[in-house]
Amino acid sequence: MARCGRQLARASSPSVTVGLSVPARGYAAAFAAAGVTIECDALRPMAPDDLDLHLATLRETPPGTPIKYHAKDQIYDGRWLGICEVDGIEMLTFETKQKVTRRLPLHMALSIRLTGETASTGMLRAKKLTASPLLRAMIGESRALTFMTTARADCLIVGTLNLLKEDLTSGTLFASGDPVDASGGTLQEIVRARELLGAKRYYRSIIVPSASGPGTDVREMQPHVVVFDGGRAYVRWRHVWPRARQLVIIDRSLPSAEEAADELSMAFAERKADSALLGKLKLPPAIEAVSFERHA
Amino acid sequence: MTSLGSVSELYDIAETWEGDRFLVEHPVVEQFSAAVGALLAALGEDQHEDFWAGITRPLKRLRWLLATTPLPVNHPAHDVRGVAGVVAPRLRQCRHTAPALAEQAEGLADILEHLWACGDDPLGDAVREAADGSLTGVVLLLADGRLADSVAAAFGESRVLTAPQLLRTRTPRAIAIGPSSWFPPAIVRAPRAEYLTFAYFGWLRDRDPEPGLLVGSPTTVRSAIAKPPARSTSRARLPLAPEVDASEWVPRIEWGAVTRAARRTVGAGHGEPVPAQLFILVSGDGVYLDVKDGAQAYIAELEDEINVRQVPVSSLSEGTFLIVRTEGEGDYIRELADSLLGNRAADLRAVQARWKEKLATELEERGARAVCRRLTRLGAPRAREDNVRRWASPDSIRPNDPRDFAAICEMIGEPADELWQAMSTIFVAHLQAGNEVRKLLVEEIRKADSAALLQRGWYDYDVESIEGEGALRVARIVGRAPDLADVPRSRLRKPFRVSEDLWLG
Repeated sequence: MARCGRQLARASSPSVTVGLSVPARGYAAAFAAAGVTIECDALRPMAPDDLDLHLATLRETPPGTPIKYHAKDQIYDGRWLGICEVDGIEMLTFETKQKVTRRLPLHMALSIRLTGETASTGMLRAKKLTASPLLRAMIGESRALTFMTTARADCLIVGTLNLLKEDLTSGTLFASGDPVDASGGTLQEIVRARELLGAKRYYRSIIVPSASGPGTDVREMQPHVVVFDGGRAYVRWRHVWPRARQLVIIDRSLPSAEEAADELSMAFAERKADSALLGKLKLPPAIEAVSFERHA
Repeated sequence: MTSLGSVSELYDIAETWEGDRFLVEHPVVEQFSAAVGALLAALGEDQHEDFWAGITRPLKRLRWLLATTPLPVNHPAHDVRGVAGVVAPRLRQCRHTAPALAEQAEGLADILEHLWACGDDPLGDAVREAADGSLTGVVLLLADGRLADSVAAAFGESRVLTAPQLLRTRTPRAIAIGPSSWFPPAIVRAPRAEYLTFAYFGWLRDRDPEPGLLVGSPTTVRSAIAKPPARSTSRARLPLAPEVDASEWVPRIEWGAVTRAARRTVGAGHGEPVPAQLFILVSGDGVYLDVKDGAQAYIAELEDEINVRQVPVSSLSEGTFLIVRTEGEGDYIRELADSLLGNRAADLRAVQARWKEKLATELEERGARAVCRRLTRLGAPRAREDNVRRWASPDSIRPNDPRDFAAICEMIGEPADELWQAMSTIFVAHLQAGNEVRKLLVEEIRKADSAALLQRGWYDYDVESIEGEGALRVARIVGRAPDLADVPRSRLRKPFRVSEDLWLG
């Protein structure tokens, strides 16, 4: 499932749909979403690595925009003030806690990272952050810290909040596969669903309850991937994000499976093109899978 | 809580499960089934005529029960004696009413009268044999859960489940009573038993279930059910009769008879006739629901999480769990809203009735088209005929757009602002009532555990906040009438009993 999420996130066409029928829904959407968030972070890192490009971005960033200043093992909340000249030299200027204005030379721009938020009214703090061992093992220390301190809706998961919460937060997973190694964690540390503990402000995924549907703000988002956790979620909300890659997980044990499979079959029959995405995956025999490109 | 390990086990079962078929032979039941089949074939369409329907419906129902319940033939739950008492005298009348069928009918009457003396338990014995003696931990899977309690009493060591229950658990061994085509395909698409046996009578022909779900998938779900063995000539009655397609035994609703019975049962009713759809519920109830103008009904969803919500009546189909009130006013939301409104309810309802009557009078006197034109001239943006009729209906509260309402009030000479406020008060009370019922019902279903609901297909829940008589009944829809009927408004949403012979025959 995680590989499927990664492949889908990597698909060049945003109109790809992958449908999977599984014998039980548990953990499928959670692993797929974890694959999506990791891949999206690799494709579009929020930690800048090109100094010139990042400087150009900062020059266009409006004053007041929330930032994070990474200084060794400390991470400071900050508000961007702009690039100003001091004694004829351009300096990066931002505000940190207790209204302290800090200035840095331009070559240190990569230590200033935009959080992905447009505004913040919260208190500015400085924290010594430690990335979760699982996340660190998956994407490395430096990326992990940025991952935990930036917000972007890469993945929407449409499903039942309580079930997804259970899948994302229960149990301990180990990157090495060895429980003796204590680098364990939960899928939530990778999926960072906004609705669950620890990711309210800095998130990578949003859970949309399939019973009530998305609010206006979420409806207007343009996520990279939407994971429909269950046939009912797909039947009800498949039209809402037409420009997102779609992953449809149909639990074959549920009454809604047939209706969702019919809808998916109809979309498959009217497809624009086949997709080779599944050819890159080795699926277990208990899973049926289909992938195709939708018409715009 | 579902652990990653238990989910992984379900994937393992899907990859490794095995299934087979166990053919059951019993000469007496076979003779009875063949005689019923022969009579039905000889009658053809005539079986639906009143005289013959009184014979064939109970016989078909008995045939279904004998093939789906692992209990002795003459077990009280089958009521063979009751059926024989009703049907045998009629069959014997055939020598006067249908001499050409007299011999066949007499033969069937003889078989039936001997059947209730038969204490054999062919399906029960098959279960014990298929389980190799030990039934501990074995799941007995029933196609029809109405006699589950009697079966559970007879098989104390086993779990007796229906398909929706099996799909929520897992077991090393399950024995399904009936051919695979009598069960939802989910039991082979999402197997929960490591070994599943279908035990059914040898003269029934089963069709292999379709395990695949997704069109275009290069991988397919494996079907692990072995082909049926050859019928045992030593156990079967010789000569072997031709096999019958098992799907022909599945009960079918006789809509013509159900509709006629509904007219008799429910009485004339009052209020203007409205187009309504008749639904049959697994609880043995019929219920008419208004289908006009996007009318809605409450349903319960029992998938991974219990959810109660409103859906258009037009979208209701077989398998949906409908919520109705067993007694009292069918519109329980209105009643609860009135109790929330307290002593303001009577005045507000009077105002609501007053403007609706005036609008209805305009529609009657001037015609819908003229009324729509006039409302549009008065500034109503949505004055279409279907909308205006809905606004005049007692089931709606008010238009959503205040401009539509203002135009109506101007046309009928009522104060728009004052009435808008009054109708909005009712509207809010309905919203609160709907939320309250939803919340309380979900709590009740959770408290009572959904096992009984899943096993029988229906359950009554007492929601204290709804005053007056009647519980809320959550029941699975087993059929939706093919045609609409005009039904007085007072009969809508009120369940009425439907004879089992009409929908299980």
